[in-house]
Amino acid sequence: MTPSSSDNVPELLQMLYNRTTEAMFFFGAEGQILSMNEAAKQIIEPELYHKMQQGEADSICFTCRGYTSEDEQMTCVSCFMSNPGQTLTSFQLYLETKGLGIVPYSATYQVIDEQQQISVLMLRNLTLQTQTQEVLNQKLRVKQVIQAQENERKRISRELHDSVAQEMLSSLVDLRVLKYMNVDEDVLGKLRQTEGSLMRLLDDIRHLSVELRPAVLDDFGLEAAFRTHIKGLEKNFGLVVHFDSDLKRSRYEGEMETVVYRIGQEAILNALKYAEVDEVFLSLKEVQGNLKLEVLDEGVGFNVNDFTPGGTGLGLFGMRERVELVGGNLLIVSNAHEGTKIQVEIPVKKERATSENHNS
Amino acid sequence: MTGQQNFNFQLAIDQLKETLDADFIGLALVDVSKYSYELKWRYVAGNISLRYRKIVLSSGKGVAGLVFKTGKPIRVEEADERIDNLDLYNYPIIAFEKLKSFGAIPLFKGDHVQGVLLVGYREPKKMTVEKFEQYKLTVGTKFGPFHHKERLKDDAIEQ
Repeated sequence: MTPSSSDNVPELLQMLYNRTTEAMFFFGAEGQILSMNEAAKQIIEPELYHKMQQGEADSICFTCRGYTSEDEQMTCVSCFMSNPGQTLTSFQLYLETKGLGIVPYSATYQVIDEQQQISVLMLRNLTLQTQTQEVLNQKLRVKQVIQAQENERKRISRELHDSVAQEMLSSLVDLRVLKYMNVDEDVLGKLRQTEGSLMRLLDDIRHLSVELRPAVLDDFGLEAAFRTHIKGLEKNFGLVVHFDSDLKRSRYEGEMETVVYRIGQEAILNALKYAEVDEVFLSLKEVQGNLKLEVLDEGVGFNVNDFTPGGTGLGLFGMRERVELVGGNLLIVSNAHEGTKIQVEIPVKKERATSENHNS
Repeated sequence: MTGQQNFNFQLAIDQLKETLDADFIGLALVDVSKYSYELKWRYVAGNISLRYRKIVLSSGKGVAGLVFKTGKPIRVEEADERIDNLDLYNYPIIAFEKLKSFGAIPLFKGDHVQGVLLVGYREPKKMTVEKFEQYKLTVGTKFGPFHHKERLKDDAIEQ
């Protein structure tokens, strides 16, 4: 270090103190504020600023909303200020700021004079980074949740279909054999009733299995799965779905089929719940290397940019998330009284690095 | 439909509709002649939509499904309060026929529910306790080949 540069230090520091975007607070032994820089002044409500300037003990608490510990997002438990001797680098602190509400900061707390117990708190705005991190985390979580859900559904669906329904079918056969044995009319009547309820039960189980995850989707692909689903809709809700399919191949990559099927399902369900229609149009095409799904209704519609969801609002969110998982595009076109169109385009990839086997 | 043809269900529900001053009456029956054992709305009066024809009712779902499964009557005085808007699509007949107040009773053959009779109004608060009693009384214990009863067996089990 040359003498000339060290001469400059106080001046440089002063400049840093005045001009930096990092907020700085100097505290005395009682937690009273000795000094705040311009950046700190900028983020604090003027009223509080004056209060804090008067040097009250622990006046930072007016604006501080706690720091992030392993247990809590914002906490005051074992506050960094309570133990004046310690130095903490890089922790997350929340402040109530002027005009922006509660904002996260990356904070450093340091004791710079042990004798007089003077310490400094430096804050760097973390809003942008936190938001980026949160979006990233959320996407990752949603992806994992969706995958876990599909796998679990597949497992339970198989179990129901392969073992529970099979077992029930064999008891049904036994029961039918019983009918042809030498039994009197009373018993026969009772047998018929039991047979009826067993058959309905079997239907229910099959229905449940298909609802969870149609084996048809894994075994025969999208078109067959949609046809089965549509038949079910008509039976259960009296909803007519006009299905138009023009696919270049019968099978697509597993994850993609799941996404397209689930979105189609959700879109039709939305039409059924909210559009007040008894007809829906569904089309499935492959255009220029893109798999295209379109769900159309001529119902009440909604304002896409400004609407209060009739339900949880999670359906639309879920559709978007699923489409993003396979690098596709989701388009929702709707206007009040003009019906709704949901369009999904997903690029058909020849090979995917993370190709997933459906039957795994 | 052995034994069902001798009784004129349509006439019976038309009369019931008049007596109770109802807006809609539906009769769901299990078709035992077929192998399917499907429960469907077979006779209706005062309907505004034909969607009911397409629906196969599953046990335990919807109004008819619940009555069918439990063998117990259901009375809803105000549909908007009892059924969440979100869940309304699970009650197709209530939604299509725009029923706001309704009651449904099970019809038995032997120990088994073989049908469900639904009486509905398109205005709320019409199916009052008194109306429901009148409804049950009008139907009486016998409705064609079926009989109507309060299922005692289940109550005994519950207690």
